Amino acid sequence: MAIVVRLDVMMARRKMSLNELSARVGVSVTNLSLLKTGKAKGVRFSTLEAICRALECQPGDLLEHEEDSQ
Amino acid sequence: MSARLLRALVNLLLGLALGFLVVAAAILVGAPLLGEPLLSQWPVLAPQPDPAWQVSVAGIEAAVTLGQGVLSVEHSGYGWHWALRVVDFAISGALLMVGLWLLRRFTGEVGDGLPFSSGSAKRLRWVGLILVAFPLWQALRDLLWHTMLKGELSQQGLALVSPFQSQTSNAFQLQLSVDWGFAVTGLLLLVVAEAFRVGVALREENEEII
Repeated sequence: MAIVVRLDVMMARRKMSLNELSARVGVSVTNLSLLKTGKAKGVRFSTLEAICRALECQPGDLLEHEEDSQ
Repeated sequence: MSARLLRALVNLLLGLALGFLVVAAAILVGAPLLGEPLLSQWPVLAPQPDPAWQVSVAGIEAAVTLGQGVLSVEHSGYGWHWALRVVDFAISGALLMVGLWLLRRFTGEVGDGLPFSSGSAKRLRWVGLILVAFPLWQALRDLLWHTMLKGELSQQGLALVSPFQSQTSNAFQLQLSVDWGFAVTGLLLLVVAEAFRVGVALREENEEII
């Protein structure tokens, strides 16, 4: 996948657990887990905004583009 | 119409159909035992009225034109007539019951607020296929009957031709008693089922977006 989600890195920096983030953002732990492991197909702007607000970061801190290895 | 009312209606239809099939099965099995004949009917066309039916009265000429009618056949015992009726009963009854059962499941899912599931789309498609298959079976059944009746009744002096044979002056042409409205409804349902399938795919994709 070309877009890599760095949610785990930001959560570790903010010392925030998945349960706490789930409560703050209003997204289920299951869905956050899918997002963290890169299994989600996409993320809504509203979800991204809520996560950025909770983790006090920018979208660029959470998403990263990587070239596909052939 | 609410989903609950629809489900109640389908349940009622299912019950009525089941009752009808039980009574029909009892008649089908019991009539030959009791020596009662079973009646089968097909529409027939007379291509050209017989000249013998025309009458001339002084001043006016009148003609009786027998253009169409009904061929009624009474048959008794457990012969091939009975076997064909049993096969017809089994296939038509099975199509009816399976179709209504699938419709019942579908209306249940709609009532539960889960119409866009892969199961409901599949069920709707099967109901559509059953509706398309039913008139095809009716046509096949009639052609089987026609083939057998032509052989039997021509020996008795009654000239019959099948729906696809050219008409002769003194022969009655058997017609198919097929309701193509079922096929049209079935095709419409197949289109709706395809729309449901696309809806299911969209819902599943939407669920994967967080």
